[in-house]
Amino acid sequence: MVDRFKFIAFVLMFTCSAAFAQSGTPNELQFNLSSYVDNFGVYVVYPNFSLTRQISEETTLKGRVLVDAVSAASIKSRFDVDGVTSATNRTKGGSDNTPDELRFQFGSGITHNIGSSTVLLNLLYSTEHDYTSTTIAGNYIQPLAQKNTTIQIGYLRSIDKVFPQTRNWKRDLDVNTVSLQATQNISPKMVVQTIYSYTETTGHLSDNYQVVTVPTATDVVYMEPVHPNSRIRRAAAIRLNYHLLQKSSMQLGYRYYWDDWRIKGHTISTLFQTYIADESILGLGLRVHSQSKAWFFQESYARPEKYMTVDPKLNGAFAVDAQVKLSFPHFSYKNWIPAIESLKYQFTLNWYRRETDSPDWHSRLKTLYAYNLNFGVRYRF
Amino acid sequence: MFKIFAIVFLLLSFSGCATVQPWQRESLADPIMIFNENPIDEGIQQHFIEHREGATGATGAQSGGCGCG
Repeated sequence: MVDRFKFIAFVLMFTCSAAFAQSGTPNELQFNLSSYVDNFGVYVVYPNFSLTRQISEETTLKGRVLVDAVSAASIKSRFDVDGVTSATNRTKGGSDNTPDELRFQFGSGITHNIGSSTVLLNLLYSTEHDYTSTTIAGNYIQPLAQKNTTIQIGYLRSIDKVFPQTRNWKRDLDVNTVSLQATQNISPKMVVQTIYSYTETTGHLSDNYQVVTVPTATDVVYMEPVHPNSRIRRAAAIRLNYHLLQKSSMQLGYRYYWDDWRIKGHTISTLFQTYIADESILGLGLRVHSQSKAWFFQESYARPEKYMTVDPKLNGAFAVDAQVKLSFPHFSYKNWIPAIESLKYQFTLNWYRRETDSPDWHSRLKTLYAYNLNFGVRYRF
Repeated sequence: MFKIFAIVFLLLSFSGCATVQPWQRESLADPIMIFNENPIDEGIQQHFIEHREGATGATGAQSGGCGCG
């Protein structure tokens, strides 16, 4: 039944997309094929399509479909769960096991200009065999000071349902986020942006596929993690982009994060972009992140406690993310690839390394290495 | 921290007095000067980060459906 719903939703999405395309001139059709692989044995392939179409001078519509196909070696282990993504083996739900888990995400959005202001409304629905998420997000954008300043106020509400296949209950998870963003032209070559976000999360915040091991006098017992049922998260960031050497730019950013689970995080990021030919851009990025652990995270638990976790996201960690990206316009190759002027290609490769303060509960490794490769095609017409 | 952010935010907002005229914005209009030039790509990156780090937010990118507590 669920698979039939997914299929119908998928077809509906493309029917709508086709309708947009036929009723006028779409702005952009984008296809991305992304893949992820890490040393914990996780493989993810996620294709996604996006169509953006301006239906009038003031209004633009957008539709999007994304599919996550997860395959993880650890899913096939005794815990039937991937320790990194918490993806679970769908064989437990009566499906086949190729791939191990599928997630579908459908998105639609509308952008409407009212005078100099812009209002954006986005809807997002994500479904997998043990989790659904419905998100509504609104943004109001107001340019000021002869468009040298842009203020953006955003609100996001997400209503999630959690129903682990190894349990017979369904629980709620609500997320409310308010964000404030200001972008300012400082000089003819420099722009600065500040962002603040405040998120309240309430409901079922534990991951029931993870396992806390507690020793007893003679053996060990496997227990469920228990997280507090609310969390308040705040983050503030500042970043600047400077145009240099006529055809290059340097982006620098710093972000500070803090929450009531006593995690504090610092993130520094930089991105250098330069034109290597007409319309062909090479980007080199580096992101460094460090965070402290949640107050109830322990490397091991000697006895059962009120709150317990083994989630590596809640551990102290140091992460480095290096990125190379290349975007270039249309090209032709013999008769195999025709030259279409409106086409633009993009490759992005990320190398990610995260070292946690203590070994991961499942892989028993402290260091995670991951590669993320994305290939995208943007067709503007 | 919020106070520091509020001060920086207000300073930036009021620095509109240092106007960059429209004819001076050629460099600023360059695609390499746009934050989050490809929101879809940014959203995918953000989704990936949310699964591996507990300290997310204030990135300017939106993602969803991740179930990241």
